[in-house]
Amino acid sequence: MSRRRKFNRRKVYVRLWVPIIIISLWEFWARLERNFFIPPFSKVINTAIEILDISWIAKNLAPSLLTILLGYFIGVLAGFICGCCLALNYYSRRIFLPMANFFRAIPSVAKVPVFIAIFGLGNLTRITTVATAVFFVVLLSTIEGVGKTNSEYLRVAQIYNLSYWRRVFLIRIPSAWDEILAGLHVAVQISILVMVVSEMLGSGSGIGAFIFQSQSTFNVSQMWVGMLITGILGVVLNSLFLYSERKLFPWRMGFGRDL
Amino acid sequence: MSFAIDLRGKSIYPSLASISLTVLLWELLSSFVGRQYFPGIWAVLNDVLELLSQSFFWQSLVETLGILSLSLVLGMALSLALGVALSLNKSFGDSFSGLISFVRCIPAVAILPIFIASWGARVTSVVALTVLVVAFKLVTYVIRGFQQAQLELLDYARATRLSLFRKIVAIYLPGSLSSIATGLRVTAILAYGTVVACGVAAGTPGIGSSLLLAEESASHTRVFSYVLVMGFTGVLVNNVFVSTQRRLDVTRMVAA
Repeated sequence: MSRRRKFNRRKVYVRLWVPIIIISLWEFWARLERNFFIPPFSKVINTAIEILDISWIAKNLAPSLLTILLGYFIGVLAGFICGCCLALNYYSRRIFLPMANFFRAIPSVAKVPVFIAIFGLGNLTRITTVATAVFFVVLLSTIEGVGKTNSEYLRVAQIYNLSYWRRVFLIRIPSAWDEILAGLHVAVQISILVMVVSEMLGSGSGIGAFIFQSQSTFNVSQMWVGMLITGILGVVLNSLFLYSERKLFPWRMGFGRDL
Repeated sequence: MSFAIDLRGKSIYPSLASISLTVLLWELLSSFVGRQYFPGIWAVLNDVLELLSQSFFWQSLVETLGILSLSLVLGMALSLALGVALSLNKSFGDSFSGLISFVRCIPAVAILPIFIASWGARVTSVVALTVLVVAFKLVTYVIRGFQQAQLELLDYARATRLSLFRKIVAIYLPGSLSSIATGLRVTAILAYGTVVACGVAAGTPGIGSSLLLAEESASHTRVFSYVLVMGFTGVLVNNVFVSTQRRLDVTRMVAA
């Protein structure tokens, strides 16, 4: 146990030195160069300490988190159900898959103006944009996973004379978890991107709107705070996903998956 | 009945049904939302035809594809250099893996304001940002490809005392081609999205800024036309990289 803890600590030290060097270089370079757009790291941290309070979190972070959580949940649920339906029926797949592929190829960001035109500015637009982006990713990964069940498993199911629904729930869906989880992971990253853009373009609240307003008013330190918080949010959500994946599906954690 | 079979020998009826269903759903949605906000499909298709005859549209499309190609080339070169360094030197790889994980989680659009503030809404900003996006995504695939190098070949290289450069060129790179091709396909779509996102969010050159202009002038039909064109361009970009990946896989199998 102690050997394991020692190893982990070494790993943490090894991983820490690069960010420390980068932050030090940033601090020194910004102080020497005095570039208006790149403030010293210490100034960004001071600004963060000044502005981060309950009202800031309620106005900027809470709406963003709500958008991501709701949009992600709706998108995953809809994508999974539709994906299973399409994967299990050949004709519906041939009819709907080209349509899905086409709509997936439209960059999620380009869909924002369309949703603004339909729903106007507000929460509904932001949640719909995130849900749509997540929907197509989960839909296609579910179709791929459920549609490519190992034929030997299906043969075993035939030998055991399993009913159609038992085959779906006991064999096809469980064997598709690898692809579905890969899709869910990609969807986490996409949902953050789409959330930021939808807030930049279509609302007065949220981190995206905060970054956009700070940039428009040339409040560079605040802009950097917004960007760092978005990055940290991305890392936290990604780590949360990987942690729950590791706990729920330990066999998926192969070499190099954490990179 | 031969007219009902497409080039891949499949029936064309499901494809026709797919197109008809899209048209039907679009028209239903349009009449439900209101045609001034959600124009009908025929109005949009007419507008797309008009758009195709205008030179500024082609100029913005060429700009988008040019930025995309340049970013992919530069990003691939950067990711190869990074991937080689990170996978062949373990302590170097361990030191940078945390940083790469962190940077990969930051949405590109969140750091766009730095580039816009430093270089303005110009091609340089988009290219720099897209190169970063491509490099940090593709480097994972390069590392995975290098990890898949065959142990027998590495033993052979050690026995014949191949230099590091020859080992990279003759063993690691050919072995990781398939993984890199998969990564390129994934990153190409991501990079295309980034180029469009920069245009929509900051008005940088390309098709995204044309969409932003249409949105600001409240020309809903034009907005939908651009979205449609972006979809077709996305499908085109995806298909180019899918066919490249397939060819590389076939070449690899034949070589093996």
